[in-house]
Amino acid sequence: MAASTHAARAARDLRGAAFLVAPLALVAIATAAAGDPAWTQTVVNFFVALTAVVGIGIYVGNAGIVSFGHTCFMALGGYLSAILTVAPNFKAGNLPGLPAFLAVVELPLPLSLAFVVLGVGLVAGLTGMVIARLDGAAASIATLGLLVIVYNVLIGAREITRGSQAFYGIPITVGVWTAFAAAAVAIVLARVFRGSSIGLELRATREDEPAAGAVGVRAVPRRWSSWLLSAMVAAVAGALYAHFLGVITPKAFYFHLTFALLAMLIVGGMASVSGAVAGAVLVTVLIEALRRLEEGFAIGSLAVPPVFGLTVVGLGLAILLVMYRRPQGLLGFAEIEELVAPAASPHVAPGPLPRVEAAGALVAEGIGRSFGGLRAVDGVDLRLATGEIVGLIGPNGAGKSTLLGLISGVLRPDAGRVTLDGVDATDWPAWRMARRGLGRTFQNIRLFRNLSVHENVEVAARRSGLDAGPLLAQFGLDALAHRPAGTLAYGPQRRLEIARAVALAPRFLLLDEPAAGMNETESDALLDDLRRLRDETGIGLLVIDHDLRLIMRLCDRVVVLDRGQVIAEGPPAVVQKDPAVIEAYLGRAHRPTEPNSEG
Amino acid sequence: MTIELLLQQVLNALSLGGTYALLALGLAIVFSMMGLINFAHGEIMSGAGYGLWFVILVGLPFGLGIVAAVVTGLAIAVAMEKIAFRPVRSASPAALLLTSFAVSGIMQVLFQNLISPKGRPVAVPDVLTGSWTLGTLHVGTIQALSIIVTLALLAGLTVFFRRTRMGIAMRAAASDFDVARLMGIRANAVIAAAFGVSGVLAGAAATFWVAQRGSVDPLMGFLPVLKAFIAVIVGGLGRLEGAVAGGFLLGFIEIGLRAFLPDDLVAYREALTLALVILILVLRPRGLMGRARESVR
Amino acid sequence: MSALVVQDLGVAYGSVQAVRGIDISVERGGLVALLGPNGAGKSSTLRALMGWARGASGRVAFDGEDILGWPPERIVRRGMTMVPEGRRVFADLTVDENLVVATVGRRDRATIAADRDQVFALFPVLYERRGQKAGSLSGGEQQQLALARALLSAARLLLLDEPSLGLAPKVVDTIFERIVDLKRRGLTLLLVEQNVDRALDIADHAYVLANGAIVMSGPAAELRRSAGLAQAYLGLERESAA
Repeated sequence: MAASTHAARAARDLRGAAFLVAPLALVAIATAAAGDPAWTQTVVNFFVALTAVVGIGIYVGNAGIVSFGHTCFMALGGYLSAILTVAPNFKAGNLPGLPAFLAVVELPLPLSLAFVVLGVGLVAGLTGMVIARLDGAAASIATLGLLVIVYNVLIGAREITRGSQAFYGIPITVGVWTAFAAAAVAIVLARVFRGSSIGLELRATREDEPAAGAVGVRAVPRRWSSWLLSAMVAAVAGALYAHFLGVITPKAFYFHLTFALLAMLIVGGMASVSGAVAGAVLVTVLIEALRRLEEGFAIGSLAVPPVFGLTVVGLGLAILLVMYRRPQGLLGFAEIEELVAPAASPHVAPGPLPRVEAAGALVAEGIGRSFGGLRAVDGVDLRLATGEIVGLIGPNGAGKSTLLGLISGVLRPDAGRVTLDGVDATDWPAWRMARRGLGRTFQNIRLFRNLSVHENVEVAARRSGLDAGPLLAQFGLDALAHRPAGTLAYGPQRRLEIARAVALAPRFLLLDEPAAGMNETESDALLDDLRRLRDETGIGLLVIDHDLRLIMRLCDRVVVLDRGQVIAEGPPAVVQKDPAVIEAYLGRAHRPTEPNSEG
Repeated sequence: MTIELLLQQVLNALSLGGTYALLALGLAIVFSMMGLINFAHGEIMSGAGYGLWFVILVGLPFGLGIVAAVVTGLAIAVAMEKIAFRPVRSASPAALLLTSFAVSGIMQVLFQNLISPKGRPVAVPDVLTGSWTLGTLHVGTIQALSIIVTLALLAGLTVFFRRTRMGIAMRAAASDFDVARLMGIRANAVIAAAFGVSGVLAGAAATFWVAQRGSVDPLMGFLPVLKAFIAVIVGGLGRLEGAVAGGFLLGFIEIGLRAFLPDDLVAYREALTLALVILILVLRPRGLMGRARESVR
Repeated sequence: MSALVVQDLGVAYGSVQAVRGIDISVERGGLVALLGPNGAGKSSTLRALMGWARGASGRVAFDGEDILGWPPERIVRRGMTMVPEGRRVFADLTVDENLVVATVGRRDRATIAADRDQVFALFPVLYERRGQKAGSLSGGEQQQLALARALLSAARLLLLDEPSLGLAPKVVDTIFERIVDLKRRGLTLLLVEQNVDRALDIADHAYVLANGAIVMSGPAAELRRSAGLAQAYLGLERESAA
């Protein structure tokens, strides 16, 4: 099964890439046939920029972190390839500081590109070890720092790079076909990466890092691999620039280029490969038009004077317009074929749910945790065996969510220990708990909102080796499979979150307020679903909820938490009548006139 | 190495680090309110530099030029908030960052077209270009002034943030924006004030920068503000004291490298400074004074 | 006359309808409790009244003016404020500074000093701790500070969101005594509380919310005797309407 789904996935990604590459091929053919030098110039420029943008998108789009730094990999690629390909006699005269082995080589372009990929890949691998650990604005600023560092190094290493002077004499070997081929390869790589497990997991961290952790995904190594691959593609684009223009300077790979490439990525939509392509087309057209204006022109007898920097203003305004009107870019999160020919959601027969084979237990012993002066959880013992449903209740602020965080590895206890099937799991982070059989949902639903319903489940299913389709059908979500998860109604969102956790094939499942916001009918349906889930799979369920009507009917055993401590534990009927529980919920002296438990 | 030389370098570091600290503090104040890292802060600084340049150009005294720099910085910052950032105030940090990136590019072109793409000389009065000799120590007048004024500004701001109603309100808004509004603090006013303060600080930084270099150009703000970004991150995003500390740290690292780097590596000074500071993030990804993300809820 | 009249208030978060068209009215000088199990929509109601929730619909009249859709600071300056759940004092600011922040929206600067003295008289512990960082106070002290802050903003109507949350019973006593003091001083109060008995002890009138709708309402004394309340809370099967 695994092999065939791999093949199907690859076929899907290649088909998607073909949607983008085919029109580009037509452009390449037309350009080659026409042979007009000015037009060729524009088209090659476009292809190279496209390669770079698609490459940058591999990191920016999947990780959701804006990078100002990828132009530095283009610079490194350009300079490295220039050094490897220019004639030794040129090097002897102009680059006295070059090590001997570099001074004598004169490689053909394909071989040089191979070294560019390796060399720049090494740099990216090292820098990625820092940058992949950062997220959000801190990561963006660090990439900006990297750009400035490389720029300064290139200028400083005068003996090898000619410093800020132009490095000329680079063999001009790139034409329409090479540039097109590079763009096509970049698109295919980007599509395959995006659809791969790594790409999918990375997109999940982009949408919601804690939720990704809860299905076993570690963000840092995923970010690192996308950083590496995207840097390699950018480096090739940089090398192609060098071999297209014949002359490069550090400045050519600095702010103007960064600005133009980012504009392309943002205008089209940075979250998809198609967006990068669309943006590259639009912005290239815009730049070409503005460049004409910039040079000055005449309308009839009225001469319009040249305006310096008009392209930057135009690109800047384009970015602002997109940010104000459509911050996700023109294409949003979808790939082109999903917009043009949306896949039908095929009806799949509901598949069997994963079964828990061996019995085991998730046990917390005396765990506690303080925040500031507050003892949020204080010496709690809790045991959840496979096949049982335990309810965890308590007034607002009793410490339920903190306890859940401690058990699931999101928070670290400062006392006591947690064992999973007898193995000490006290210090395990959330992703490891998830990989070892602990699934969970969140109090305020955390889906990967811009991924499809199918992809949400797929992230977890690929880890467990389950098939996402039949599982979705099992949860009644198959008809919605291709919808972005964030567009679902509330009920289906809750179901999807549970389906995603079940797709991990967990042995234990922690549900944090699954009935929140549900009316009576919906919560009755949930009750049936959860009971069936337990009966069919043997998963141990721990359910936190405020809907005590649900808890009392659903659970085998109820644990009551108040002020961080367990104040009662037992079968629902007993707990319900426990004076300590009534007091915790209602206040000191409330003695309800014996309520009838039958309605 | 002599004590004098060391003292000399400490003064240099205080002067340069102080300028970074002013810029970083302005960035951090705005960030703490609305989560924006203002890429266009450098253009506020350049704009303030042009304010100074213009006043000197029309023959007014340098003192007035300083006032002009500060007022221009304030005006540009407040206008920028109102025109460019208010429409996207509640957008994601990435969208805010990109918006400011675009604003930065557009403003650079405006400076290039409306003034000049080339640097414009600013005549600095002789009183300021001189230096005093204390024993064997040479202290440039501008350098001394910049240290004194920076420390005075930081002290003044401390008083502003601790003693005035607006200052205390801004700290409250920085720590919990929603609850600050429950106290009757107007969101628009407090964000405008944050930009205003950042503009004034950028104006002061621009004055020192221009006075020491004798010219102003459209890209003047870029490099110092880039370093201020990094100072903010290294100090711990959103922590005002962290930003100031990060600024001074950067100043000391940069001057340290300038003083002690062997000659053949001097060309890599900027690169090494940035690399060293970014490496701090490996040890502390949330910055020197950053808070852990873990919380009760 | 009613200080606050809420008609057909609905609150939706995306596809979730947290509050489904409720009516509430609070008499001037009255203390009304809004009760109900967690997740019933009590906090959402308060947030909507205060301009904190986006998807609010219906009508909210404060002293006869329709304030729904106003930004919070405008509502506060008109005389209504909220003590948010979890206290949310400005932890890095001192007690004194927290109190200064509360006066930023006031026009009548002259009376602030006198008001501050009164607040300190009401909450002597805050006077003792006035130079201390608010984050270093105990939970009960923080709650008092939150009350004091709201009081100093010169509000005539206070919305209190779960003031007893996470506090020891003894401390809750103190807080509730203070709340009664506030009522005595003529403030109008709308109290959201999970501690039903205590809330009913001090309230004049109460509403019980469940699933975003009002399931019971009446004078506090009557609700105290009702068995239906325990059912709403403890998940017992519901009897035919109480």
